[in-house]
Amino acid sequence: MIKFLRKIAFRFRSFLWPVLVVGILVDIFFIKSNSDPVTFFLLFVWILTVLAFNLKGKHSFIAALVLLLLAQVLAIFRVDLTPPVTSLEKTVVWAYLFLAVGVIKQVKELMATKR
Amino acid sequence: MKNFWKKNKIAVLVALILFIIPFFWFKPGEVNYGGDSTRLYFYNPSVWRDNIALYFINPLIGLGEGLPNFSQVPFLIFLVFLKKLLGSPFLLNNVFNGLLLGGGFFLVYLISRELAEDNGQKSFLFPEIIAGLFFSLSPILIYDWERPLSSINQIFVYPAIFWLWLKYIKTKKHFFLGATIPIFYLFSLNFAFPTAPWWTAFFFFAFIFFLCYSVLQRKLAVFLKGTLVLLGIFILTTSFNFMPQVADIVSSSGSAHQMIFNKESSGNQGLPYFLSVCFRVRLTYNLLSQSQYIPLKDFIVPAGDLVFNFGIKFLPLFFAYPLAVILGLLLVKEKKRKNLMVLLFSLFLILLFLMTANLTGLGLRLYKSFFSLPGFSMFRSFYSKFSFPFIFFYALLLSLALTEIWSKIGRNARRLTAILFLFLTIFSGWPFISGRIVNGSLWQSEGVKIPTQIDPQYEKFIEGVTGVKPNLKILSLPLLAESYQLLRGKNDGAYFGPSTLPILTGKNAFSGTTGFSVFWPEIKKLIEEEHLSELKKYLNLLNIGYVFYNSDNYLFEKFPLNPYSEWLKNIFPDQKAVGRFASGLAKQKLVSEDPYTFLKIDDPLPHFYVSREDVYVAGGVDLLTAGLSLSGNESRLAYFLENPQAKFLAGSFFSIAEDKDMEKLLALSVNIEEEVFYPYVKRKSPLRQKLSFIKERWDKLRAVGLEELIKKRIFYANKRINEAVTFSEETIGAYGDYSKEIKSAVLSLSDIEVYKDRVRLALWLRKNLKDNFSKINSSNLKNSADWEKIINEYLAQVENVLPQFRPDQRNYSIKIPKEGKYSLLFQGQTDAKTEQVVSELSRAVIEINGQKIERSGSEVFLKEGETCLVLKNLGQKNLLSGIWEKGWEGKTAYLFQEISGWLPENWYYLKGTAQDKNIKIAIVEKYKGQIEGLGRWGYEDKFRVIKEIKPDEKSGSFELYFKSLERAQQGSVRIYRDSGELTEGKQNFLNIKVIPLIEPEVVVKNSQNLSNQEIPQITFSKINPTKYRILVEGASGPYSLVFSEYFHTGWKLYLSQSRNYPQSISASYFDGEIRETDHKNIFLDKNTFETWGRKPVAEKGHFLVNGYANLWYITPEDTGGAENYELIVEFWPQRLFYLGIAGGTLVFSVSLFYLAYALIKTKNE
Repeated sequence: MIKFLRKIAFRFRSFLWPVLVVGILVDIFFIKSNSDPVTFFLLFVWILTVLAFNLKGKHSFIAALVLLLLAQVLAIFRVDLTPPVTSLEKTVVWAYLFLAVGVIKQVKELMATKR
Repeated sequence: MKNFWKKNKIAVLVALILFIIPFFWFKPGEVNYGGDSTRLYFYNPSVWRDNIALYFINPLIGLGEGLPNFSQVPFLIFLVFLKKLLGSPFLLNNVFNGLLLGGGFFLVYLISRELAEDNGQKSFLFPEIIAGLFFSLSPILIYDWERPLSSINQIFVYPAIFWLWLKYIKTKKHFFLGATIPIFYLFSLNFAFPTAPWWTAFFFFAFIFFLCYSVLQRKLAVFLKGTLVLLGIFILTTSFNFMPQVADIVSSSGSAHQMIFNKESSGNQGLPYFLSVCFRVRLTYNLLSQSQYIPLKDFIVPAGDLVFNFGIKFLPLFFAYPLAVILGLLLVKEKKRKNLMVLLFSLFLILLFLMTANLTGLGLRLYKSFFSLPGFSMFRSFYSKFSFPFIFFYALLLSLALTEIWSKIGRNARRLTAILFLFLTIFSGWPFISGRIVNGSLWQSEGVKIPTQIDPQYEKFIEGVTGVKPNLKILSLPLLAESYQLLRGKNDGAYFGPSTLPILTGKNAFSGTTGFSVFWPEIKKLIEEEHLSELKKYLNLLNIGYVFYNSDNYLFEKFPLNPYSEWLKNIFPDQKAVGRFASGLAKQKLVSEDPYTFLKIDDPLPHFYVSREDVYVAGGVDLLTAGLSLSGNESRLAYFLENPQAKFLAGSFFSIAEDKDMEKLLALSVNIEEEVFYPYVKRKSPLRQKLSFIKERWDKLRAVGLEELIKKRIFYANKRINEAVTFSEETIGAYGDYSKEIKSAVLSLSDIEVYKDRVRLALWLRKNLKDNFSKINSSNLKNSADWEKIINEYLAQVENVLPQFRPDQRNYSIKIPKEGKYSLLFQGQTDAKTEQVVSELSRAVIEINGQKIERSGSEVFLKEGETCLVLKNLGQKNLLSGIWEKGWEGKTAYLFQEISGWLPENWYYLKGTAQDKNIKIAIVEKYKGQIEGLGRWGYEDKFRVIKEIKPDEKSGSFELYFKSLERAQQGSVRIYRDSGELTEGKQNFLNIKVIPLIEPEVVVKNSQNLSNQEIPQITFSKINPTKYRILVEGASGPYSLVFSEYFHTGWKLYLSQSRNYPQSISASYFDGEIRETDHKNIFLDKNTFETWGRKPVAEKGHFLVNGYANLWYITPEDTGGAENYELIVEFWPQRLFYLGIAGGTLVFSVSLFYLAYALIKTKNE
């Protein structure tokens, strides 16, 4: 399964980054509701990116770091801090998802090293 | 020791500063007595211990069903010792707060240090200090200090256990496991049932951490062994709490059992509460270690409060925390350290999810599924229950991350980051450090301060009340919506928490409406109707003999609504009303210290009594009022509420008939206000018509539920009529389609399951059909006769679906508990209604199972089971006099007639025929309505329209069922006319009648008189809340002994070996038939264990009685034929505490010797 996914991801690797970056930014700034299909599609694209470029856990952490810095900028400029769905909250949720992917990858890497 | 000081001196100094901070929070004498779980033990720990903690049964809840508080005993002994040392509650509170704050900081510092040094990493000291400060000053935790619960101790207790556990795994020294014993023992409160959400949340994650940590450190065996020993230590040390708690959970009548397993109890209402909160929680605030702005604003802190907004205003600053953690994760290279950080980070992410819940739709669904796990509902306010482990692990992670960052940067950069993080932790914690949080105002009050100083006048008053002898329960006034007490302090602050009366005097108190439990609806009704004599009987049954009245007006006005409900404020708009109510209930003043008065209710029913008659009630608690009103002057009765096992005991039986017509009446009286609507139509080509039908069919397919489908069918039937009337029927062919739609609608009616909905829809259909008939009638349709015929057919079918209610007849069903002669008693819900019932029944015919019987009061032989009762020839009296008067409503004139004898909450039937069909008939009521305006309470005269009706266009007839509303005073019929003249004298166009419909409560009671059999005399003594002695004299036959304490199978009756004649009698009831001695509170003496190993008597005769109390049916066989003897009533599970406290104290003492020995040994080595 992973091999198959890796193969697919490799074939479409040039599209993955743009889809991911544009998708996340559109989700944060333009979609004013929470949408699981959008979120999990983009997360799946990130997993494909990880497979295609053989990224490590730390890359997910870096992505989360960038998102958190973006969230900080949003907080500084007070970009729609009002509920129910805010760009700031969405950015932080994205950061959380990247951290979750990163920590799973990191655990996998550590276990592989141990073996 | 020197080494320790050298290594940790800065941390010790910081801990000392934190210890001192609470001393600056309050003015001298002020104490923060906490929230729901109250910390009144700071005021007087020894009284709390003796009245609340030492016994399984405590007086905190009026009925006596309190959860055991044994876990507090060692803690209270510790506080008694501390108070003796310090002297005042003010100092005790401050020292304790300081210990928690400083201790919590220092332990997190130590743990961080242990973890940092784990793998040879150089400790920079400051990351660990920052972790400690981050933990103890986190805005997520500091609001818990506002009105602290007992769980606040976790700040110190849980890190202490964690540190010792960690030290054991690292060093394998048993000393560290032994050191947990004093903590478990003294703070067993924080490992007990009431604090379960907090300790389960923390120790679940602590266990996962240590399991993974020991695997990573290759110390799994040490961990497993240590954990098992720790578990054993925990069970042994806290067995005084653990065993009774388990017994309470296992026993079906235990409070904990009810809380966990009763689906109706609030404990299992977790999911709805969770769903009401989860959408307000934000991940951002959790990640940045800030308090949850939205729920706090909604529930706790006043909006816009600067203290509260601290973290929100400067939100961008706090991104430094997660950024530092991620940087640390990215920088760590060394494998062991990386392992540890990834482990902590994984736990952090899981806890962050548990703290937030609303993380994507999938995450929320997953969280909701957790609520199907037994016990998970205790985490319904998840963000406050997981906050502690979350911040704890966040602090450890931050410390490791900062250590990693510092190892990679230069000295200046280190200084800069140290300053930044110190500033952040202190800055966000400043509202707490400065004391603004703990000095806040009580929720929904007008600035009433939380810290308070108990009023010296109240102290004197309590002293007086403690000395009052008979052991009866207290009704505390003014009543609150919750079972709490509001008490003004000397400093104009207030104590708001569980009533101080039971805590300080040992007497059970009912201070709020919820304390009355299942009895509240009936008591509420009696208060509303001001039936004080009936209310006294009810209070007697609940063993309430005193009234505490606090006439202080300050708090009554400073709390506009909560904790007084709207209902309470309307009934008692001011203190005068409360005072009148109090003096109406009790006249005899026992203690008085302005503004506090303690009154005694006349002729109270004692805690123990021998029942004069056992009454079997074929129903629940709601029938008790009827039972009490039938009891006359005899109060010594025992009511078995639908308990077939106790039927053999009962001397008399009574049952209330169920009114079979009420459902019909309720359904028929529904307002169908919606006007019949005919959709706009336009002529269609055959193709467009077909397309239109497809669209309509699709629309009907989309209908959700049968009710919506029927409504859609009616809608399209009306459309067909409009098409037929607007265009020629020949070209449209609407007749067939109309018929099809209406037929389906009529046939589907009977498939609607809910009776009320079925009738409402049938009424709606009838209204449409009648309107359809008028529309066809006034049209030029060629086949209008066919239309009218079919509409009439369907109207007849709809009439069949509608309930057939006869205003002159009432049908009842009665459950007869036992075959015998019964008398029938008819009464109204109020005195006025009873008069109405008596007058109506004088003309009525009464039939039972088809046979005519004599009037009310006569005896009838009835068989066990269901019986039908019919009242005929009712409702013939017209309440209208026939004289119309003219009135004005603005510029609109109307004719009106008063309805004589108008009663509140009474059903009426209006019928008549009008020649003029352009009129509108309205029923208007004058009533006492709530005064409008913020903070204004009470009632004033108001008018409202109950119902309006227009005469039928065809026949001119009209009929209406309606009910007057509560607090109604006067009713009238008004006639309006849309246009044209409406003058006096034109009343003849109406033949209008308003007939009252009586709703008699029919009670059947078997006609046995009170037993003339001699009953024994009893003298009872309270030894402690779990043990009583009863001296019985002259018991020649069987009798029923009632004990007005919450029913529990743990209450056992023993025959005493000796007979102790009481020395001092404190009260005598019923001409000395029952006597009460001075009550005592003996925890331990030579007689404490006298019943151990003995067999209880009358076990099979132990019943639930009066809806909550205990009754023992005692026969001469149970007492070996003796007539004079002594009984002991004892609460069996209390023995578990005696056993447990002995075991726990032994383990605790041994551990102290062991620890002292180990310390000396280590020092010598």
